[in-house]
Parts: sequence; structure tokens; C-alpha cells
Amino acid sequence: MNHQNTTDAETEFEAVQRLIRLKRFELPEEDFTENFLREFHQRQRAELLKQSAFALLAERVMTWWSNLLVPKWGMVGAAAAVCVMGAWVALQNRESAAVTSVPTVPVIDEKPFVPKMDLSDLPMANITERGNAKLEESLLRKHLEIRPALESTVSPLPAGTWQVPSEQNAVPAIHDGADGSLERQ
Amino acid sequence: MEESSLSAKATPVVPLNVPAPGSSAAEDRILVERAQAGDTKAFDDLVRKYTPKLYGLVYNMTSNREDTADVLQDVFAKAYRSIKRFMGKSSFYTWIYSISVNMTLNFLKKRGRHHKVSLDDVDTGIHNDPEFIRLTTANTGVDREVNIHELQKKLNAAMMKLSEDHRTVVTLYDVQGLQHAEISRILGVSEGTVRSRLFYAHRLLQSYLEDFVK
Repeated sequence: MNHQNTTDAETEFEAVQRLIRLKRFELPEEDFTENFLREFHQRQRAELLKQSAFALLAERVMTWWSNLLVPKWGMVGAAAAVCVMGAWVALQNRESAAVTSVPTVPVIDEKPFVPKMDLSDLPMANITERGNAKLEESLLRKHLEIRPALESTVSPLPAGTWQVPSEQNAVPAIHDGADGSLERQ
Repeated sequence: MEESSLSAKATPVVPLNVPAPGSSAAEDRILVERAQAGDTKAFDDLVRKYTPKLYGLVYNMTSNREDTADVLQDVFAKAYRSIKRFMGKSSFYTWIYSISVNMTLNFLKKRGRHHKVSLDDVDTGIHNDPEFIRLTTANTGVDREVNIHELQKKLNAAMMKLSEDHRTVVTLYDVQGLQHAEISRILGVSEGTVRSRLFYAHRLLQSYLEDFVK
């Protein structure tokens, strides 16, 4: 009984498929294709006319560019190289013209006048190591301390007895101590 | 999978008048290459070749002659614009069928689901086709007294009752004679999905056409 029902269902199923397959005979008329093609060409022309001037221009530019890109890469590359070279040469010319156009000013090759001083007794080595501030401080201290020392130790010579300074009458050297204080030797 | 076995068992009784897909793939490839090179005559040949096939596809999905012609114009216009981008990864047959199916489905969505089949939509050109009459009376179990025009109307109405997805697979399989694999490539779905949709579509059609199949 079940087998019979299954067979009936399959038969009905196949019958449905046979019916649907009848639609294969619903074909267009014989001249449909040629008429269709004619209409297709007409629509293409109509679409072309409908396009705006800008769209047509863009299409032409794109077409020209696409034609240019593919087979003429070498020419485009060469043109680009020429442009780059031209720009480089122009840049070089501009730079050289700028250098030659600067007005010539006579160069003064004179050093500023610096009076020569004997600073051999100054603790320059230590001073320079501690910086410019120390130098300034040392010079000031020396100035303040040497002057009274000179006044107290050197007796005024009578007139006409001026002597060349020697070790006997020289001012004792002053050196910086380890703590930065000034020590007289 | 019951539906697969049932649909696979179905053997074509009506002789196929649709050439097997891919049978002229080489010829298509040459025409496509010529069309891509700017030969408009080659594209015209493609239009001539595929218009009758695609007509059957679109007409059975829309059930309207004028709509069919309009959709086909748009299909070939789109194909013409895109022919240079066609890389040949699939056959031209599959490519143009995919465009046709997608554009027809989009058209049906725009047109709305409540489109009714009128008598004008029925193709009256086949009434005198002797092969059609022989098949309708000999193999389908249809009573000789049944008006053929009425049968055609019922078939169209039954097809239009199907959802768009079901109608598409029925059209591609039963009317166009494509295989499951080819349909799955065109629709971009798995073969299992194609078989499933086909099974449910046949079952629905069976209920719609029970007067003709019992």
C-alpha cells in the first residue's frame, strides 16, 4: 500500500515536471531576434546622445589616456624623465644666478686689537676649568688683594732709585686653595 | 536528503531543445575576445545567439512579453558595457545568465509582487505547434479535452505563485534544462540549496496544478 502511494506521488511529481517543461515551447517569434538587435542598436545610439557634453569629454579623455598608458609607457617615462631633468637644470641655473648676484663687500681680514698682557702668574688653568664665573671672581679678588699687599710690602723708592723687579721684591704668588680660597705662598 | 533524491530521479521526458551549456564555449570565447577588441559585429553575434535562450528565462520569470524585451535590452546593454571587464573566469554562458537572473530579480522587485497574469501575457504563438499539442495530450496525462490555452494560463499562474527564488530555479532547471551545478554557479548558491528550492517548488506546483496531474 505504501509502495503504491510512493509510486503515485512520484508519478504526480514527474507529471508536474512534464507540465512545466512544456514552457520550453514558449519561444519568441522568428523575427524577434533581429528586431531585438535593431532596437538594441537604436537604444545604444540614443544613450550616446543622452550623455552630457562633460560625460562625453570625460569618456574621450579616459579613452585617450587608456590608449596612451598601455602601449606608450616608454614615451611617458621618457617625457617624465625629460621634465625632471629640465627642472633640475633650471634649479641649478637659478641657484648659480643667485650666488653671482650677491653684491661684493670687501672682506676685512683684520683681527680686533687685543693688548698683550702677561698673565702667566694667574692660575688660569684652574680658573678655566671652573668656568667663566670663577675667572671673573678670581680677577676681582686678585685686584683687591694685590693692591694693599703691594702698598704694604713695597716701600716707596726714593726718586731716581727705581729698580727692575726681581725675586727679592716680587709679590708673592697667590694660588687658589683646595676650597677655593686664595692662599699666599 | 529526500528532496535531492526526488529531484534527481526526475528524468526529462520532453526532448531538450536547449543546447547543453558549454557546448560552444570555444566559439563564445572567440566572440568575446573580438568584442573586447571593439568588434561590434562579434557582440551582435553573441546577442543573436543568446537572445532566444535568455528570452525563455526572463519570460518565464516575468510572464510578460514587453517586460521580457525591456529586461533583455538592459541585460545586453549592461553586458556590452562590462564586456571589457569580463576576465573569462567563468564561461560567457554563465556570466550572461547571472546578469539576466540578477536583473530580472531586480526588475521583479521594482514591479511588485502583485502583478497579475493577464490573457495578453499568454504566448498564443505555440497553440498550433504540433509537438506541443502532442506532448500535452500524450505524456502529461492532460485530458485531450482540456483547452490548451487554459493549460498555458494555469502554468503561468502557477509559476507566478512561486516565490522569485523558487521560480528562478524551476525556470533554470525545468524550462532551460540546466544542471544543478550550473544553476548553483549562476545563482551563487550551493547545489544543495538549488536541490532544496527545486523540491519545494515542485511540491508547490503539484498543489497548484493538481487538476492537471491527477
